[in-house]
Amino acid sequence: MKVPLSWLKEYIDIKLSSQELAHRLTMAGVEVSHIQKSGKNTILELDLTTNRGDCASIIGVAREVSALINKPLKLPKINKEDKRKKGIIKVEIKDRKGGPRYTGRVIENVRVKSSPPWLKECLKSMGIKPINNVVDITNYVLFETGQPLHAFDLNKIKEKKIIVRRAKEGEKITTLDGRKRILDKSILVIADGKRAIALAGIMGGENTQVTNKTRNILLESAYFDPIVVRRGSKKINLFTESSYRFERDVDPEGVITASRRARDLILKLAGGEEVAFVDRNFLPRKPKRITLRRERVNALLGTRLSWNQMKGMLKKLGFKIKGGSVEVPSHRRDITREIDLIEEIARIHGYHRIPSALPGGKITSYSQEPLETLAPRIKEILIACGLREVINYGFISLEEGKRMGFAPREIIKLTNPLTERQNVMRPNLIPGLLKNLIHNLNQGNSIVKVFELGRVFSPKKEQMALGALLSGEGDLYDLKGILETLCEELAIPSPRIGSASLPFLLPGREGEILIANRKVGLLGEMDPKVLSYFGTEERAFVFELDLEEFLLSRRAKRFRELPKYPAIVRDIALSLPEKITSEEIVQTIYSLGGELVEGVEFFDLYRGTQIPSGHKGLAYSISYRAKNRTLKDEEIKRLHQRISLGLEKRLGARIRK
Amino acid sequence: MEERLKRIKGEARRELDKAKTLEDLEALRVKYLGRKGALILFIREIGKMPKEMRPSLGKLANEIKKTLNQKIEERKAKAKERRVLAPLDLTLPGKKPSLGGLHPITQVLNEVTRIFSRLGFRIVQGPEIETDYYNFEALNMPPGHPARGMLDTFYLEKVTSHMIRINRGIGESGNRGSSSPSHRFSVSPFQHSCSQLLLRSHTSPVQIHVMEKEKPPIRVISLGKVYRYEAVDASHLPMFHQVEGFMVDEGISFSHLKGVLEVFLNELFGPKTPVRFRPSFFPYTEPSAEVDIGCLICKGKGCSVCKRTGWLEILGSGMIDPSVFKAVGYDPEKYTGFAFGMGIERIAMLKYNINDMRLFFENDLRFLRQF
Repeated sequence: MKVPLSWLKEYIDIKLSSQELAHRLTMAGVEVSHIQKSGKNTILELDLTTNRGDCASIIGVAREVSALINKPLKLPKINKEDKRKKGIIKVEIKDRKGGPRYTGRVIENVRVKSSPPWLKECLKSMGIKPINNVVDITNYVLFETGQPLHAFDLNKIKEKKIIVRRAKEGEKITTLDGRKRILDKSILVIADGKRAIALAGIMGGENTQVTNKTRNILLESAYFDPIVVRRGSKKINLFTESSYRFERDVDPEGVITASRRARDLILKLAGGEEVAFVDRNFLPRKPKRITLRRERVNALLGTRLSWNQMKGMLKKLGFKIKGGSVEVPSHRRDITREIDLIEEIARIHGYHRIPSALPGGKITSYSQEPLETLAPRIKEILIACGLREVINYGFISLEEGKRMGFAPREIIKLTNPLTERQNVMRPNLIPGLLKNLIHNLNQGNSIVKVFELGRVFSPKKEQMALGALLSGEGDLYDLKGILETLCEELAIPSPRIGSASLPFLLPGREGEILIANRKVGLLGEMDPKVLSYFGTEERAFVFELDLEEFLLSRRAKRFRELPKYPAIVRDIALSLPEKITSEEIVQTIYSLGGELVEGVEFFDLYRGTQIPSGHKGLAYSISYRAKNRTLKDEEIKRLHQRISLGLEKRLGARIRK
Repeated sequence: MEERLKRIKGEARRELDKAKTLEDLEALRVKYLGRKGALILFIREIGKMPKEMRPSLGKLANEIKKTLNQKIEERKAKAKERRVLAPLDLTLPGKKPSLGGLHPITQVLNEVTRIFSRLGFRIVQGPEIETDYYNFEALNMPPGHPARGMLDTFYLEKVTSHMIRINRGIGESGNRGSSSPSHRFSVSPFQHSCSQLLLRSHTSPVQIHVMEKEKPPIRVISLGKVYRYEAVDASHLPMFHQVEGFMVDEGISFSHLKGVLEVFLNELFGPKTPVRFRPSFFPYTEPSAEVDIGCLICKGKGCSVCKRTGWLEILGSGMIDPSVFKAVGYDPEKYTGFAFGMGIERIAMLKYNINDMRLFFENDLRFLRQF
């Protein structure tokens, strides 16, 4: 909200510089976001928190300044008499929740014309276009007091009747901005005997607008429910100076003051004569009282303030204190509890004067979730493997989700997406990684090795997933090697790859990741069709793990005695039919070799002229070791021979020399 | 002839001085003492020379041969000793291993976690998909509350049974759940089939989840993604990261809030960073405080980054509102506590001088490699 300094000074003597004033206000919770100089005038721009509706006016800010600098307020003189003549206008409140207080004042024989220069200037400095003296005065008083007002052309009000009610379903009104609006039951309206003539607390209607021909006016000053105004305003997407203030709760006692103030100004600037005033009020009239405990204030703030200090601060803000009971001024709608009073004390005392202290007490022991402790470790390992961490949006497009093989019912959709490209929650991490790949290829980064650790979503639950992508360097075995390294470092049994068929992976180059026979993820080469949908012809290799499942098989790390006797390593080169897997070969070697086989390590895969077609050449190093003695050459020779023969017999292998 | 011999000797000497490596020395040996070496050829020629010259030339040539050979051998031995290999141009660039790296957001999160761990806070993660109750209502934002307008929210289409779960550290006083190793995650599923699902617009719902299950004393931080219905520009994204922290016990006061956050900010931004607390408003804290640090760019003089104020808004905080305690069944007369929350992207932008928030999720490797 804008506060011209010259206007503010009409209600309070301020000797401070504008910078100092801005600082004092900011440090008391009324933030001055910047100071603007326009011509001779200085304007403070306030960034009000939603609870401080009482500061959404020049007098409201003056009241706050008065408490901060200990100077009295100078309020405008107002004639406190109202002409309570009956029969000219009837006010009926049908929705007492939405509009619990409504006042109408009739002024006849006004001369509507353009406002005097001072008034025009005033409104211009607030960013409002002057229209005519009557309308300008209602706006002026809105800014001055924070109470929104509205003037109707009395002669246009049918049956001289005001009804405060909810709109009928489909009811229409053209508002003062010239737009036709279709209403529903959630919106509170002001109606006459026939139709809606204003959106309560938001904007007036064209049908009862004050124009230069207007002679008699009805001046509305009312209290509308904050929530009702806010919902209505949101519903029709119309936010005004008026709705801004009603949403923040106006002062129910200020309703009459503002109406009188506007009347005084109208009589002065537009002439005419007040003939009637109606006040329908269903609001509780008793002021709020709150019990305040000195010890509670000091305990909560960590201060040692005396009761007198506390009283002094609250009195400056307009609170009245009797014993331990505090009476809240009507404009402070935000203060309903003891804690609210404590905040007022803290604010006026100054947060900077509250001492800092570190909490003592005991620190409880706790065991951190495995996921929280392991996530950083997982990232470390992957970084050591040369992968870079990426972070992607939690949402993708439905189409991308479908390309990942998910049916629409398996994907959670946003009801109000910002864009079609981000209209569902990601069911896996692959689309994000692919988009990172494409972005980097477009930027000329041809080698992309990345991973992401983040949430994925299904209609049943959300869970942590780990995804990795390699492109431009390395192949599927490099990626699998990273997965195996991860398992080794985390003490998870080494992964097996089971056959699987996934819609976005290349047939024959895809599989599910099994750990201790439980499915924990997938691995494979991306299908070129999917890659091309995302925008590249490059090859890419991916894996994704369900992190919780993956970590379930983690074992405690245990030291194993270092071997005392040497190992002997013998290589074996085989030619085998294509369909025999490496896994089968290794298992066969172990089962043939017994406990003397300590390890079997693959080191070569060969296809070429020396191997018959339909066959492949594989080579392994077998290391032999006994726990309790040095193995003899002869013994190894026999064992190695047995393994060779066994492989020939069981798997149809041929030993290559 | 003697002249020629001396010239050969001289040249060999000079070259010997220059020769440094084994390879140089071997080349030198071949050049002078090899089968076609200059000195050897000369010695062969001696036979064709006049008789009277032969003995003295022969003697001289053999002496030269002997000393040269000796010197080369000596030098070779020395070279071997020092293992003098061909010199390298060390101004050529080194061969770098291809390392990976952490995303800058993760690096800042790690830093924040480290500081709070030291102060006895533990990490708890909350779900990104939340219900209206946890995101708003339990945090003192009933339907229609004006503060909801500050948190523009993404809503999700109804699904029949979404399980919201939290992974949390198990506090001493918390229920330990199943202790069997096959169920290591203390997952607390509860269904909200009738509640409106949304993407959490802040990390504060974690406060509710934790307090619903545990009794004080509690010191917890939670980090993660939050979502806001906001159009994308250099300083706004529909998704960003927040850290939430809170502490509840008997006798916790606003002084403690100040003390803990001052320690944190001075560790994160440097020990001399000015910190100020000013009144603000959040529905779930009372009193509430906005916390500013002296502008890192202009050191408080006023610049475009701090909008000429000399201060940067860095986090929101306050004493947990009694109505939040009531929502989780705590007695607000017995327990008090504070809570705070901050955006991580903003901190990363200030720390690394990044001017466009969008860079964080483009994941351009040229960007990521800089951290």
